[in-house]
Amino acid sequence: MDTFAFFLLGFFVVGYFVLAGADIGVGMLLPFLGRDRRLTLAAIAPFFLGNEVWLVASAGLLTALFPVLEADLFGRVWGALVVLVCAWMLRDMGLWLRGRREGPVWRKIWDAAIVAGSWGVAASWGVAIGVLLGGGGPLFAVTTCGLFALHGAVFAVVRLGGEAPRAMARWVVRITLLAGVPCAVGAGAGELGRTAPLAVALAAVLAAVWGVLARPGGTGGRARDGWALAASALAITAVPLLGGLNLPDVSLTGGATLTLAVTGPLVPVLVAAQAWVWWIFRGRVERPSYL
Amino acid sequence: MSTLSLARSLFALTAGTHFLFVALTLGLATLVAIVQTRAVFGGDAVHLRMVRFWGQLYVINYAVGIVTGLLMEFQFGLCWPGLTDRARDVFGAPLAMETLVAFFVEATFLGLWIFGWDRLNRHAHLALIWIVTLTAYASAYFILVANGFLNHPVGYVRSGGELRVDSAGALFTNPAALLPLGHVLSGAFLTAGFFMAAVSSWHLLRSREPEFYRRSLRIGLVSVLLAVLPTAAFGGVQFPYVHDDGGVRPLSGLSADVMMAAWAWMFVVALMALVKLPFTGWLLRGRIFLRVVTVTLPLPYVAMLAGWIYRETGRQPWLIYGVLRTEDAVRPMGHGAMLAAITGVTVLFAALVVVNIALLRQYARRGPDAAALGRSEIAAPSEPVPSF
Repeated sequence: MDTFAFFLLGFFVVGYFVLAGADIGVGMLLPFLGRDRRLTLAAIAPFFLGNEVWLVASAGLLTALFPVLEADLFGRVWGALVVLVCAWMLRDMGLWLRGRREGPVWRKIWDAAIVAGSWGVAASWGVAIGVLLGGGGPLFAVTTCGLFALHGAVFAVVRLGGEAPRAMARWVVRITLLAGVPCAVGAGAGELGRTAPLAVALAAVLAAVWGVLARPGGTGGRARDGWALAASALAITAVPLLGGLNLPDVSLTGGATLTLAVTGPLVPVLVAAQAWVWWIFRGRVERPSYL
Repeated sequence: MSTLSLARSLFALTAGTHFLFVALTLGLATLVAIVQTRAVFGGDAVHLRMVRFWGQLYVINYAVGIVTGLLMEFQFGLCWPGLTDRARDVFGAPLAMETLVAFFVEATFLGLWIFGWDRLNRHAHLALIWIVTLTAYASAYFILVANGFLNHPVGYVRSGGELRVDSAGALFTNPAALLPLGHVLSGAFLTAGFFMAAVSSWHLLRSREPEFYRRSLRIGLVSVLLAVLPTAAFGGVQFPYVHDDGGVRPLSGLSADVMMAAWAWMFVVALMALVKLPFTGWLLRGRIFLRVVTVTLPLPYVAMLAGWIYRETGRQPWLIYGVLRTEDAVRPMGHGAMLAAITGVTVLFAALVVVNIALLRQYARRGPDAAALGRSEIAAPSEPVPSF
């Protein structure tokens, strides 16, 4: 039962980083991904609401399955989590409200909210997990910002096409490889036995992304971009994995069977519902959306 | 103020604001779903326009509401670790089910409903809004199971320091959850009904699109008529489960009076609507009636908020009535950090409420042709391109 509970929580946490990582990354790079920001936002529009519920679900599961862990986590990284939630709210407000009114001032305010909120979310994840790693909060924020931005840039390459996202992705992957990986090692220096292997694997995956992106575009480009996206998704799983490996040992100590019995069988349904959304919006963005 | 008072104020602010958004969302989703059903099966073009107009207002309200809900979700971990620590099995279970069984599905399909307008066939698109509506009800149910346990703990045993589920049946059929569910849902129909009727009346007073707004007015008023008595009935039968402690609390007493006064006014308006509804011409000519309906728009909100304050303050000083004291559940933390958090959240929420009201007002006044929702080919005036 313990194993299943951990698997369930881990599934939703990793799912959050892989899915929402992309839309948060696009938000971080909004000014640099193309001249028509409305078109850039259309890349993430159908997904971001369905992506962020993975974190809401994770929080619900954490409360129901591991309240001791929850109390411990929230106690140690209280400040970072408050900033995270506030940045998240700011970002969502920006996304929902930006397109609701014309006028340059209105647009600028919410553009700023989207960009600042997205950076805030990425950075506060870094600080929170850096604390779990043993204290290197700001250091690990460099890593998370790099990984979120990279995932967003590659996602924009796939959804938007064009040269601007590709050039951006090339830049970000270099910075993440050269600065993000060393920072991850530095943040986890206290537990190098756990951190180092993951950091090496991360470096390898990032090098692969770099290799794929460095090739000139052309025929078969979209399939190759798809592989780059898979690799950047794999890279961002380093964030929850590093956090998870450094959690204190906890067990369910009985109970919680009701939650597991109701929510467990539902997971395939939830995944199928989201897969449907991704399938419908699998194509390139052609025009601005509701946002 | 003590840290405990600050933590309680933060919760009250978050939950109270979130609740106001939810009240409209729950009811308006249903009305939009009903109108969309008629649009799909009736083939009347006016219904399709109504879906887009009222759907636009629904989506604006939902989006701002969801932002307030995010903080709600994290508040238990941030401020009330004692609650989940002691009662994760009985309180955490319905909370987790709300996120996974209800909200996850609701958010996924609402995104598809908003952005997939021209990519799905109309029956699939209609199914989405109904799923969104039903999962919103499910959300309300699970949240009220968790809340009902705080007011009227049932179906549990103590095991060590923890509360465990003894009877899932008792926990999930707690009368302190089911009766408020009826109360909140009928209150939501009252809110959405008056919202729809008031916006329609405002336009009718200016003789705009009489056909469109006459139909909308009827839907709104029928919703009010169907909901006004159940709201009071479900409210009345809950009194045994509300801890009033002999009316010694000034805030509780005042809230109860405000709630009932607001309801009495709405009841009178509903009676007027009942008399007028069968006569279309009279309904449209009655300018006084239309004005009365317009100004009634805020009253369901007032009643909702007052009723909620009445119910939840009566429980104090208990978090779980008779089981866990509020002061024993709060996170022991610095006064300064809590003060900073509540200041930030107050500013943010005030901004959210103001923006929501301003946008609802703007889109409600502009009328159906200004709705951006479901505009298949959004006219994209190339926005001024900033240079970096």
